[in-house]
Amino acid sequence: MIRQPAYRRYLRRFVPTMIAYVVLVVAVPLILRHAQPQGALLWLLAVLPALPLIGVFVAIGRLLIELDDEYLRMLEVRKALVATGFAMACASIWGFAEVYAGAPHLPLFYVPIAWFGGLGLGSLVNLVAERQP
Amino acid sequence: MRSRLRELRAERGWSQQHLADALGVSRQSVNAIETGRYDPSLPLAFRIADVFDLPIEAIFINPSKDTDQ
Repeated sequence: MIRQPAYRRYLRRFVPTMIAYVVLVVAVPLILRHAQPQGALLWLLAVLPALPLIGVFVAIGRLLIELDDEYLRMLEVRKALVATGFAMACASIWGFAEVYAGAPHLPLFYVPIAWFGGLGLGSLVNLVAERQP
Repeated sequence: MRSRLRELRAERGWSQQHLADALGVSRQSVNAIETGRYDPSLPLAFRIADVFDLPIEAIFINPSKDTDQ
C-alpha cells in the first residue's frame, strides 16, 4: 500500500504535523503559565495546538483526493465514515450524560481525538468487510 | 460482480502484481475485483478490457444475467 505515492505524501505531511502538535501541547501550557498573556494574545496561544490537528484533517482530505487507486480510496473513505460515526456517537452520549447525569465536562478537543481513535475502528471494519470468502 | 479475471490472468501467466502494474492500481485492488468484493468503475473496467484486448462483457459477468448468483 505504501507503494502508492499518495500514502507517501500523506506521511510526509502527517509526521511533521504530529510533531508540531506534540510540541505545542507541551509548550503552550508552559508559556501560558509563565508569560500569563491576556486578551487576543492569550486566545492566539490557546488555539495554536488546534492548528496541527486541523492540518491532519487537511492531510487526510488530500490523501482521499490524491489516491489514484479507487479501491484503496474506498477503504479510506469507509475508515473516515466509521471514524465520523464513532466520534459523533461518543460526543452525543457524553454530551447528554454531562447535561442529565452530571458527568464531568470534557473539553471539545476530545471529539477529534475520538475521531482518530475511530479510524482504528474503521481499519478493523475494513479487515472484517474485506476478508476473503 | 463475478468475472473471468483470474482465469484470463492465469492464461497469460501474469501475477496479480503484474496486472496491477499494467492497470496502475494496487495488488489489493486486483485481488478485490477478482474475488468479486469490489466492482471497478467504468474507466477501470475499460482499462482492464484494454489490457486483455477483450470486450468488457467477455471479462465481467453481467449481474442481471448471472444465473449462478
